[in-house]
Amino acid sequence: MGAMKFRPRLLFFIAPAATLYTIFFVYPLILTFLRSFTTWDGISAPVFNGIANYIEMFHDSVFLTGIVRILIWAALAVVIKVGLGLVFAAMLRGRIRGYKFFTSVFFFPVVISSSAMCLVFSLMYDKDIGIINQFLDGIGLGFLQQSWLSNPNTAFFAAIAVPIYQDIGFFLIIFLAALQGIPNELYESAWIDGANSIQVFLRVTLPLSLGTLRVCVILAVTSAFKTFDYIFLLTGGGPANSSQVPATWMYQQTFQAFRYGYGDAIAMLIFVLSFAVSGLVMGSRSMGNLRQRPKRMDAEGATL
Amino acid sequence: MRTKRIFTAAVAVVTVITMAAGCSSSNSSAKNSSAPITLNFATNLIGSGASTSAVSEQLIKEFEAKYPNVHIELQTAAGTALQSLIQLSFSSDNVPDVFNFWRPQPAFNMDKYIASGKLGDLSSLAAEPSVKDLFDQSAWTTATVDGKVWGIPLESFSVPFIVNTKVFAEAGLPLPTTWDTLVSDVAALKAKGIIPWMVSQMPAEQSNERLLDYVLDRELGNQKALDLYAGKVSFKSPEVEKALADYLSISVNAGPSDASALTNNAAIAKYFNTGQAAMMLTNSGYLPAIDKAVASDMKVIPFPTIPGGAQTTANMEKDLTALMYASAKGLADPNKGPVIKDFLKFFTSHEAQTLLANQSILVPAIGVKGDPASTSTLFVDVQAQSAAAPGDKWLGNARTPSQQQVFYPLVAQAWTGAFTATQFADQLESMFHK
Repeated sequence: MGAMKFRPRLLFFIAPAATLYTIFFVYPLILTFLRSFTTWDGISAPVFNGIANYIEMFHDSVFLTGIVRILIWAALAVVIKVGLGLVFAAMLRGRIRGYKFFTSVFFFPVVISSSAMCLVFSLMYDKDIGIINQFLDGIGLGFLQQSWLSNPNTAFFAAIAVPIYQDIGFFLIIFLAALQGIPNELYESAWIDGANSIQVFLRVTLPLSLGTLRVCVILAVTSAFKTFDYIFLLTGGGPANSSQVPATWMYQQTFQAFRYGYGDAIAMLIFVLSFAVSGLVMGSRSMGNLRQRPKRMDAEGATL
Repeated sequence: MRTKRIFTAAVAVVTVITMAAGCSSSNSSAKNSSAPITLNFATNLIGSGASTSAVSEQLIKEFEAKYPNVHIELQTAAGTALQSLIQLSFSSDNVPDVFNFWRPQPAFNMDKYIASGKLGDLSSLAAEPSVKDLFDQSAWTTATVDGKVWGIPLESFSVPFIVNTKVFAEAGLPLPTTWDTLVSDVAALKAKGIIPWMVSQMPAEQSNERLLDYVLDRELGNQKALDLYAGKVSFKSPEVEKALADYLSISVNAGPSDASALTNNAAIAKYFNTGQAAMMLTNSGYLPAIDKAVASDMKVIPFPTIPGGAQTTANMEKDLTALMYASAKGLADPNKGPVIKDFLKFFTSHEAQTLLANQSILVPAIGVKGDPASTSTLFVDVQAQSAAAPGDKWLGNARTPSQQQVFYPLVAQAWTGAFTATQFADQLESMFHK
């Protein structure tokens, strides 16, 4: 079967999607980029100010600590969301007893809206009536009780725990679908050869799901970079900017401080960061090497 | 002959058409007066947590009943979120026909809205005797910018100092009627495990700076304190650092530990109504949140003057806080314009002001006081003190919206003891001093 021949009339079929993409992504992106070089209050005409917004950004301590926070968030997201999603998928792949029940239970938080989750967790985190503090008291760890969302040391981690917990099910489903495509014979061969569970995971499951893993890592990282709603609803970036991330800072600068140009500059940086990370992961030589067949791998991909 | 017949027919047709046009235009005038009109009303007066919700909904229903062809389409936003909604509406040239908003001052970006030409000039409406005579000159002065009236007064505010007398009595402490007593009371309350101040540290609530405002006003005088935030006076002077030190002495770790996760209403319900907090210094708009069952335990007292301070009278921060505005486009519309004016007059009328006052909301209308049976002795006392006390302007008038975003989190940090007075002065200096 040869390669598909390009026919100009195919453009007719992609035109609607391309038009929508241009209107709702490309045009706003260009506008945001241009406006990031202006001082603009949203009402009067924008005034060109060169790269002043970008210079200010790199002297803005709130923004810079926000960058550190989203890098931490991204790392935790990859390890917990993607890692646990893969591990749970590997466990459920074998269609153990109650497989459907566990899959549903893990996936259930995914279908709940972020605002509902934030409401539930804000009650759970409450200093006096929250179930977390009551649980800690109940197991003799009352000294760990806190006002989780009001303590500058815990507010950020308490806030990001919500999306990290919520999305495990999402990645579980993705990995479950990917792992279903791995032939059972490979696992049987591994068991026959005496491999234990961890060896099977590392030598069969992981290599053969690397393509999916790569996509999931990009999704987890870019989600951490741009997520706004959880921080906004749970802490608003507080207390005292201790949970501020670039997305919420961008919102505050744009819609509350009425500094649209500066907010646009922050938005551009979030975009560039996400793009860079995506490119890094997709083009990663080490990940590419992992995808290459090891020298000792059979025709169907299992490591020998 | 044939030409004559054609000409006659043409004249007849033209005559009929002309008559029909004349009739239809007069008919459409009549129709227009009863043609359906939709007024877009953007407001934070309606919604969960808004004490003005029931009154506002009642007023809208009454207006729609009075004007059957008018439908009020609501755009609601909670609290200060209305500022973002109005900003977006001005940016997108989609200003609501009517909206309530804060004072026409730069602190609320109103200077830009006025300059945009999209905000309606209400000078002619304000000149009508039934409107003009309802409010005193100070309210009209606040509503006027560059000789034009931009809003019709709706609500006032003051910042009363409210203490829970029952908490003080049970703790065996005197009421903080002097500065020295206030300082000793705060320390004693903390020692007894009672939270001295009910306060929300949520930046969006814009209320954690009230105590700082009062101390700065007492120590420096209102105008100098305004000049501080306007960048005209340095924070690094000995008298300002002394004022900040005095402020920190009564504020550090003196609020609820979860204050940054609580709105004002939630903090009042959780701490003030339950007797866990002893004092409250916040916008009088939150008075309705005080449980009527415990309001009799509350007392409003003047915030004490500070020995050696510039202010020797017990001034109170007070001003107009909400006005009704209209879009220029709506006012210019020949059908909508008159309806908008009628709605503004109706919503700020003596009757409407009375309804608001009965909900324990301070109103600017002359001679309107809430019914004590509907409000509380506390509200009556707040009204009386607000009327009698010399007024101070809110210090936030001198801050820009951009500065507010950094200021409120900074004050929240100060409440946790993150700064010494000198460090706090350094932070404020870098933020405000030009």
